[in-house]
Amino acid sequence: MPLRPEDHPAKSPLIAPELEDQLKPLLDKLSAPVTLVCVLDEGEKSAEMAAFVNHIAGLSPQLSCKFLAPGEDPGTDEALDASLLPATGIYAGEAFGRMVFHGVPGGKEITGFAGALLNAGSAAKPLDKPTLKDIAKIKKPVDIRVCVSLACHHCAQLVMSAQRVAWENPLVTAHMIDANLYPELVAKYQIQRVPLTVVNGDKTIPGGKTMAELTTLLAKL
Amino acid sequence: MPHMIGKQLEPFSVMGYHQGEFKPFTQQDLLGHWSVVFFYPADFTFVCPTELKDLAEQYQGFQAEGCEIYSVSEDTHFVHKAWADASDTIKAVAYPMLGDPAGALARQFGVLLEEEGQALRGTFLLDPDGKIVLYEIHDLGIGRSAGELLRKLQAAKFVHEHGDQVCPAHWHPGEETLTPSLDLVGLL
Repeated sequence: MPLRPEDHPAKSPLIAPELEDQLKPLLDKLSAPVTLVCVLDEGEKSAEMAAFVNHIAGLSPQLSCKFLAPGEDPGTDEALDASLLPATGIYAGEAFGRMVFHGVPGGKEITGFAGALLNAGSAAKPLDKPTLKDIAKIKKPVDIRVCVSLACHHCAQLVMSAQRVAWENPLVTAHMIDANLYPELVAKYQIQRVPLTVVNGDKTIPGGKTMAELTTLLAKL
Repeated sequence: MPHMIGKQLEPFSVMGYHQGEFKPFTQQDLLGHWSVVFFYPADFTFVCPTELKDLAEQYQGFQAEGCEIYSVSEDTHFVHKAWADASDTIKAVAYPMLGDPAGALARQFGVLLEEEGQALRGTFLLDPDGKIVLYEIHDLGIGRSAGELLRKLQAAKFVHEHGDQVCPAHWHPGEETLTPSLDLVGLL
């Protein structure tokens, strides 16, 4: 797998001109640099993700991307969890934003991906004070993994909430996982419905949750 | 044609055959837990035993989900016993077999063929409040799958317990990535 972004297609067939037209005004709001760091293997989905990230990065001067092979940077492997590839972390400049995508965020998940970029680029809608207060109540490290299917709108909304919580609270990391790509996870957690959220590797939360429900659950951990 | 989803189980009283005994069954017996009401045309027929056997083999799975199965035909409870005595397959049925010779239950569920005095192959899943949450009605020759019914029961229980904030997952390894659609843009 070539690791220079310029060795991959600059455009992805997944991003149609109409979608580009919708994304551009959103990404025009980015007021700080955002880096998309991808750990990619030799698989088909990694190649797909490379073109996807290249295409997105080309839509705003605030966006850039960096591709790594597994093992090239153990710290990044650990931060993004390179056991589930392709893995893409959203960074605010050089700082890990604790928002990670495993798989290609197609279907409804493009919304969560765009939301993560807005978070890291200081362009997300402000949250109200009670919500920020709820997020601040999470006092222990929390690893949130939202297992999704790309056609599930409940999933996309939960991913957005989880990643916003992660962005706002440095103790929280939020991963979107396209469960279809990882049959071992489907088997391990017996996933028949999505979203299924796995917290800190063992606690599972089925179904969609509002931001308030999610923060309440996480604060109780 | 009106549908039956959400319809409340109405009062009834029938006799049934259950684990070697004759017992009365009423509306109250079907409340407080999940129930499958499983109509079939008649005892001593060919397709019916295969369906009832299939259900009997999956019965533990239904019980593990807190669900009781009630098979129903327009025969009497005496005929159910005679069938159990004559057939090893039916002898192995551990769930209650209700007799509905007057057609009250089959009529209530809309599966009675009045002229034949038989029920269509209707399956109804009732929640613990006695409300129908799913059903299927087949023509007489078309059999049903207990495994699929168990999967539906699990899905219905999930929705009952967690609300409808969930999408069924159908995993297809190697499936192409879905074209992105930014229809939730209002959330951003």
